[in-house]
Amino acid sequence: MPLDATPNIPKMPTTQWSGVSPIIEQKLWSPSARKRLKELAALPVNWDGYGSNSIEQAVIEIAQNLLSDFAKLNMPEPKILPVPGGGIQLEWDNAGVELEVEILTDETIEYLIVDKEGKMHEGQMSQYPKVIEIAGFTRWFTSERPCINNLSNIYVSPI
Amino acid sequence: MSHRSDDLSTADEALLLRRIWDKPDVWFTRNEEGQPRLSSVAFLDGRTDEVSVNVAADTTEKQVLNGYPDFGLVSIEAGIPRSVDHIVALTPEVNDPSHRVICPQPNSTKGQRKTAARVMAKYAKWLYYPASHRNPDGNTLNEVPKL
Repeated sequence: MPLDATPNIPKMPTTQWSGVSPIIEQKLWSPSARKRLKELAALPVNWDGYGSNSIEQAVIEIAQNLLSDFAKLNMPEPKILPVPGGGIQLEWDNAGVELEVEILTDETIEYLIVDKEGKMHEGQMSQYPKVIEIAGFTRWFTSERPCINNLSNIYVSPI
Repeated sequence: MSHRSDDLSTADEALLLRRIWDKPDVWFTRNEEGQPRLSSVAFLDGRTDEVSVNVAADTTEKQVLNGYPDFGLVSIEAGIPRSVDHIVALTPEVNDPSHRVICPQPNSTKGQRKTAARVMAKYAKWLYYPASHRNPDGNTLNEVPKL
């Protein structure tokens, strides 16, 4: 083959990559969180004894994405709770510092933070929160002295 | 926005009863005394913003738990939700004179619903623990089971 000839390099087929899931993403998705979401998805109507709807599939999917994003940022695994009406709440508690993230049935996401003194602040996250927004909550929750007076890291959207 | 109004015949000191779901066992953490602390979800409804309760003076604990033997039961004074911009409203559509709903004030904005639920969960008092937290010996209706 002449030196200036264009080598005939076969094009790699793209279809072989479509079924590949990066290993790191598999590890971030905790089996116990997956199991918990599966349990919540199977809750029947009136699971709470007050006529609640079952948990909506769209809410489950939003919870999956949020859990994955929080895990990527090294947040510990939260408690994953059903909310009457069909929503899901994620809860973290670190020696009195608390973060609640609630996915409502209209697919909005609300949060509540509690600092060590018991002061509370709540707000709304973006409907499709970017990692930078979630990182703000992670930084606050894991900071040395998380305080309601220091929310500069957190994206605050008025309700 | 709620169409309901506060039931002034229910005094601030009146006890309101709420069933607490037992399965899965995730609505609790332990407080400093080792007692189960309710999650705020016990006083949330993400669809209607109305939380059902029964006025203790107009019913019995046994009636409230009827059909739900594994559930727990808590009480909360009517003044607690009122202190966080909520009302205790009559529900004429429900065939139970003891039934009320706790819901936000009719003209309130949405911005305090989670804080309010958190406060209500904090001040709710256990009357019966859910089945998964009951002492094997303390399972009768007229005593508070110990952990």
